[in-house]
Amino acid sequence: MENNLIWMWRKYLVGVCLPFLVVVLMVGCSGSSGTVDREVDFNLSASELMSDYQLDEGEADGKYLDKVIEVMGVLQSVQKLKNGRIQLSLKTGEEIGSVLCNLEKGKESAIASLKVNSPIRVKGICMGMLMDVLLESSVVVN
Amino acid sequence: MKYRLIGFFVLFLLGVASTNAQSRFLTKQGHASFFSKAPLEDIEAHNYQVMSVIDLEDKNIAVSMLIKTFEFKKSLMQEHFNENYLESHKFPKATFKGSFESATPIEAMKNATYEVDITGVLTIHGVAKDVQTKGTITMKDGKMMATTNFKVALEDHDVKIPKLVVKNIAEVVDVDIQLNCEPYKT
Repeated sequence: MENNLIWMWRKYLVGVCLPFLVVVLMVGCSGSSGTVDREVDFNLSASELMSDYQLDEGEADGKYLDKVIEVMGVLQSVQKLKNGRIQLSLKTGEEIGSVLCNLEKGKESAIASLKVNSPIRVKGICMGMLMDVLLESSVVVN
Repeated sequence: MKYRLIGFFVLFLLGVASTNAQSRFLTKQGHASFFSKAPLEDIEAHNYQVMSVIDLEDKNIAVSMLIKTFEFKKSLMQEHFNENYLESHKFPKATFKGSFESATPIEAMKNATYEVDITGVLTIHGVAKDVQTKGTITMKDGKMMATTNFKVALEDHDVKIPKLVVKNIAEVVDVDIQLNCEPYKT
């Protein structure tokens, strides 16, 4: 009788608890669920974002850095970076400087339907500004 | 006052706007990497979005990169690098601004490689440090490839490594820079 109970417990642990733990660990180790599921912190145009950075870069960093931004603009170009990532460039109306959006891994298929010089909405995480404002882990919003 | 804080590179470009456009070269996709060799592990990271402006006439060079765009093999390392060591939320950029000298004048339209001596100020983690190093500038078909490598002591830039991981991270890391620049025309 006692042996049967121990055997049942073992079966329960191996059959139910262990798979559950593995799933929990896998989800936990996989990091964030991606930009697509994150709530948008700021919704603005590419030119507004660039303008904020040009007015006061420090203040803009304080406001936008690491935040999820949904940016609207006109697609200037699509290019592949040396690390294989796809980068969308959005016009800002400035002679120098655009909003660059590096697509999240696995979301590259979205570029098939994109047209240069057409309006586009992109959601990404703000990394800051060099000459351009950079959004990482970006996804194209339909 | 508000315009005083316009981005470092925008200012730099405007500052050299009066020079001959043919002498200026720009990249937004330069490559920077660093390698840390420590007793317990080797760590390597790459940044493929380095920006640089090099002016052959004024012999100026400016390099800037976002700390957050360094990529590590392990995401946990990348997280620690940004949050605990480089504190990229406080100091988002690493920059270098300086000048170079070559034994013979660099000709933009002549295919050749030149050895250069580079001096300037490297700012990492908000701490500026004078740097002297050597590099090469290769001109080919009107384009430029500039390379250099140097060592960076973490202590020089006030980057604190906890005692617990002192055997995992080198005190001095090797830095490699490769800048494939195109002529910059306004």
